[in-house]
Amino acid sequence: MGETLTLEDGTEITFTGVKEFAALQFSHDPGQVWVLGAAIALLTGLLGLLLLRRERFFARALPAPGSGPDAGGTVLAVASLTRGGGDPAPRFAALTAELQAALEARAGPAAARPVPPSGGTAPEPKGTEA
Amino acid sequence: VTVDPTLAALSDRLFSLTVALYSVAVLAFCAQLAFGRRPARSRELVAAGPAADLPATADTADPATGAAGETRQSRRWGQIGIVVTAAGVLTHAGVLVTRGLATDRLPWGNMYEFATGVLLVGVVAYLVLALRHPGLRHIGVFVMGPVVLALIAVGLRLYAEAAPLVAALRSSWLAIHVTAAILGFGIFFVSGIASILYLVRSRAEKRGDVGTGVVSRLPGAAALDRVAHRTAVFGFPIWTFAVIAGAIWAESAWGRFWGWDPKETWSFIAWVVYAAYLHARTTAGWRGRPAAWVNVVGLVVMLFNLLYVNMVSTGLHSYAGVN
Repeated sequence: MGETLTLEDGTEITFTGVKEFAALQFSHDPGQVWVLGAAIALLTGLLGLLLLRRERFFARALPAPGSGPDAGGTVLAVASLTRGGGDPAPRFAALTAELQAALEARAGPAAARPVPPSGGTAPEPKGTEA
Repeated sequence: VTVDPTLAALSDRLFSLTVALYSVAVLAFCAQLAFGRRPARSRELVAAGPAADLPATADTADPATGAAGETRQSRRWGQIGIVVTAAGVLTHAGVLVTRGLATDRLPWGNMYEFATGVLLVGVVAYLVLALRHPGLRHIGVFVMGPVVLALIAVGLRLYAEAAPLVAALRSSWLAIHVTAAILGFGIFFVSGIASILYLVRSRAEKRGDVGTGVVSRLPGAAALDRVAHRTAVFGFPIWTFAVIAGAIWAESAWGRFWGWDPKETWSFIAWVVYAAYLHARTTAGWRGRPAAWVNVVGLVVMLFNLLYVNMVSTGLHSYAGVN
């Protein structure tokens, strides 16, 4: 206190005292708990949306067209529509293989044959039809 | 709080070593591209690819052609690149660990440390992808090249002496909020690069001729698009969490959870852009190239948020420690 310092250019600086101060801020936001709840809901929903696989499978049984050895049989068309969770192709292949195995087990190996898809279009490029 | 000068100096030395190792890795990845002569056969395979829209066919074809069209010499250079990159990751992590030990705090208290951390996450993300999908090693030079340039820029322009944390950052939220931000940013970095490469590659594929140049040695467009999407899907919830955690910290430190501080605003803009990318990628008419552009815009916003907002604009996030 009272110390004086002279700078090179002759300016004199005297330490005259100290004033203590505090900056106070009051805030009240009754809505912020709701915002927190919404943010947590958002994050939970987002994780579910991005990480959980949403898969729809379609199966359609139609009488086999035409005549010949196939006549009188049934064609089972299977399709899937997948959102999120990565590549659906291997799972779909596994599903059709399982389905075919189950059909063979019921009706004998000659009865269940895979039929190539007949010009059906998938509802989405992502869907695979077989 | 005192700073251990020996450890701080070691951290700086490791930083130089990291730049050196990554530079060697870039050279190895360049050699991989240079010696990776593709047989003409695989060009036909790629040219036959309007069906590349179907992930099912592209999935098996693309990484396979990437690996099959590779000479043994090229593959060896790629492996060298990966090994040197992995060594660089160790020294890169060492930069942050020794800084943290030297200052006895988390090593992301200023822009130098933040940017170093982001680049570390980016390199680790690339390394994980390259180890899981060998076809993606071919993008090594396009990831590690920018990383080397960015590290040099960080070392030259953003360097801050090892020092205790500024008072405003002494909170346990630093560990939560900033860690999430570093993770999200580093992952988006790789995602953005994959989208840029996708744009380059898909343009060539659309022309029906990928040529024999560098473009022909990139992974297929569908594979690049998938990498960009998967990394964005991974990074987006982390980034969301970073913004939310930041808002909670802001509430406890500044008395409001959202104040349109420049950093808050731009983080929100980046969030919206990445949300738009994830939507665009599954929306008809936006799928493919337009969506990839959105992802590139996202990366630009992230970089703007780091560089411009920290260094030029005035706000509450002025912890850069750059004068």
